Amino acid sequence: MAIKYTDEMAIFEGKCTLHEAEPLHEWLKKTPQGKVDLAACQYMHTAILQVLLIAKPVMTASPEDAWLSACLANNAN
Amino acid sequence: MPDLADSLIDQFVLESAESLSDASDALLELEKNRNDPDAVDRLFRALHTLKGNAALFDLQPIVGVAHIAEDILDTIRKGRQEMSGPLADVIFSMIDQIATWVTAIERNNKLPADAASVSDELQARLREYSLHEIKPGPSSQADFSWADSMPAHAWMDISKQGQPSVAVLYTPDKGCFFSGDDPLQIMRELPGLCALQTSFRQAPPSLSDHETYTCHLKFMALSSAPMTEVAAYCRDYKDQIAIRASGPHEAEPTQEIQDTASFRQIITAQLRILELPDLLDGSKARLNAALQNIGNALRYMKREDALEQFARLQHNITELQDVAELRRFVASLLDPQMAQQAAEAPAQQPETGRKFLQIEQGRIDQLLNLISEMAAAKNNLQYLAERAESVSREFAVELKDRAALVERITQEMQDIVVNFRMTPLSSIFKRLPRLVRDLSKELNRKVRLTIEGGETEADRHVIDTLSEPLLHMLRNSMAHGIEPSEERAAAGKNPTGSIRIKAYHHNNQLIIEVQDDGRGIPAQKIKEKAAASGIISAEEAERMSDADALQLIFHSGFSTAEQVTSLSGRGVGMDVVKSTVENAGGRITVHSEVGVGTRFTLALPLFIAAAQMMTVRVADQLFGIPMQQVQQSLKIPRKSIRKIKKTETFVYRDNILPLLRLHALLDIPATEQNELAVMIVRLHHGLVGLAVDDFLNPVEVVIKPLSGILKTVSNFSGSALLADGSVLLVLNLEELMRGH
Repeated sequence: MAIKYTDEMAIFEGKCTLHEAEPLHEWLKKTPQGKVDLAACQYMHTAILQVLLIAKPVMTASPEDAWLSACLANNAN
Repeated sequence: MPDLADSLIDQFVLESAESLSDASDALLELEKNRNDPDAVDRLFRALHTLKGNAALFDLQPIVGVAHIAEDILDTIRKGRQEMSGPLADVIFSMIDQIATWVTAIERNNKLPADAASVSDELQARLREYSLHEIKPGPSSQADFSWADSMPAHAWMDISKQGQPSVAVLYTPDKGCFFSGDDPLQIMRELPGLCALQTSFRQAPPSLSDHETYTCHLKFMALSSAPMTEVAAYCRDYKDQIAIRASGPHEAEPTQEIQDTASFRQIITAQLRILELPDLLDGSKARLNAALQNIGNALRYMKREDALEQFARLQHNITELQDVAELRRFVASLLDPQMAQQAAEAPAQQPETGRKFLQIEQGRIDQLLNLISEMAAAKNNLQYLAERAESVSREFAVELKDRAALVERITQEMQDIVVNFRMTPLSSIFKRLPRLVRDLSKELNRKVRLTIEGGETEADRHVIDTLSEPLLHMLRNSMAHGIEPSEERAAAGKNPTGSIRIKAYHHNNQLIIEVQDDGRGIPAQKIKEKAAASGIISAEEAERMSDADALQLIFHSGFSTAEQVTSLSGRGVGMDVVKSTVENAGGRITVHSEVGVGTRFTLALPLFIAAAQMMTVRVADQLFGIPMQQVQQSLKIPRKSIRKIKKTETFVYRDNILPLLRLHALLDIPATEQNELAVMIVRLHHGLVGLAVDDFLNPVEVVIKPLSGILKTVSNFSGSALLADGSVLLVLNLEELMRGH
């Protein structure tokens, strides 16, 4: 798993694929105050980006990958 | 419409033509069997592909009509309505209109000015058949206003990419995740990506309402890559992506940006060199040049840190013969991510397995022309070898050996390239069902068309030549051959007429038969008409056999149509068909039986590339006569020539044939001889003797059409290059002897 969950934190690491989207979605629903740490995320599938853009959780660290970081900030909604 | 490169236009035109043809075929099927789910599916798919292609180039008039048609077909597919005759008519009109637009795009790279209004009218006609209000398709909403006002945070590192010139709007299918698409990654890899913004198509759903595997996002991007490159990249997602040329943006590239762009170009080029599989083999010139260029580029950009690492790697290469690390380093100069890929990718290996190339026909023709010229030029060698006999026998033998080798290779090359151009007849046959359908309606005839041998192949040029004559013959059969249903029923025939088109190879020729079971051609009526039009005299008409009378339909200006329709019966027709076929080296014959039907048979060469030509001499000039027109060459004594009225004649196999002199026909001064060299040639109206000064050997030549001023000279059908470099003019005997 590229996303590890603690009580209130989802920690992304490496490549986060489509399969990780549903557990993340469920976790965010169950954990409204949940935070995300994206520092070590190198890739995320669109489905994951979409969940993050809808849930807008607090980001304790944005991805080191500048491109990915920009994508998270570039949503018009 | 963006200014598209020719290659993209070609691709668009090619694919659209295929889709239109598929759509037309499927619709014809659907008309015959209105419940055929397979035909509905094929029609739907063809229109969907067409729409996707058009959307990629933002061709809204096409997208608009195709979208509505697609929606109507969807209701048919779901069994909510049936295909009807009037609906098929509208869809056919739409297909025709799109075909016209595609032709306009092919010629002018853009749609005609009235395309939008024509599309609106068509859309209104189509809407009459839609069961509900149709929402505009995603592409028809394509709004690019965002492209001029991308917010600052949407810009990637512009210094890496250069000025944006293309705007890309990507609205992924909602179910795209299931088909394995990852839109974010697709955008990340967009060539020349400079700016990207994501947005929800509508207000984002709440977290609890959101379905994880439904894509609600759309992507707006700007790219600095050429339009061609972006369009090529987007092809796989063409029904989801619209692209448009984007105007210049406010920030003009600074010197620094320009330098960066140049640096990237240089480094990319060097990286390609470093990826060559044989880089370390033999001379290291390419490697050394690449190293030199990388060093210079780094020094210019004052990349001190990278220079240091580069120096170390250079040393490794000299010592260890290993470029892998250098490759990674150079890739990292472009993009740290690329370094990873470069590390993972092995050096390019020559790929195995079959590969196909799509090559424009013009290039193949060019190649064939060159090979044909080479075939003619190789004759020079034989000519030289013969001349060399007088100098040195040994040298002549050696030269002949070489000539034989060149001949063999040339022949092989010619065979291969000629085969490239072999095309199945189905490429022209597939237009015919539609024609029959439309004519059936216009003429109120019921006709069943049967086509056999669509897989039969012939040279592309032969096929192209055949297309118009075939359509004309079909029109003739429909207009004059097949009777109205009532007339057929009264005659005890099946009320539905039959037209059968059959193609096959026979004796190295392409044979096409067009046979109908209509009323046949009444020979007596033909004779009367021909006599009345002054084509033949009354006595000739009386003497003429029925079979000969039938041949009169090929005479120019001859028409037996009782009423002038929009299709035929205008007095231009079968004569044009005949001359077209004969100009291509073919022949056409007709057999007919009153009340039973008519059969036209076309026999054409499979290839037009090389032709057998009989050469004749008049004074000091050489002329060619196509071999298929030559019956025999013989010498006849002058005294056996008789004059009947003003025409010279002679007896050939118990028949009196007219004798024409090529001198007189071409206005060349003649010298009288006691014995005449006469070529018996076969023309429309029979055999004719053609007096020349001498016969020479037959030759195989490539005939080229005359160009420039000569193009209008109808006495010659083309020219060919002979072995000694001289030019042979090919006689158009029908034209030359017209009126004699």
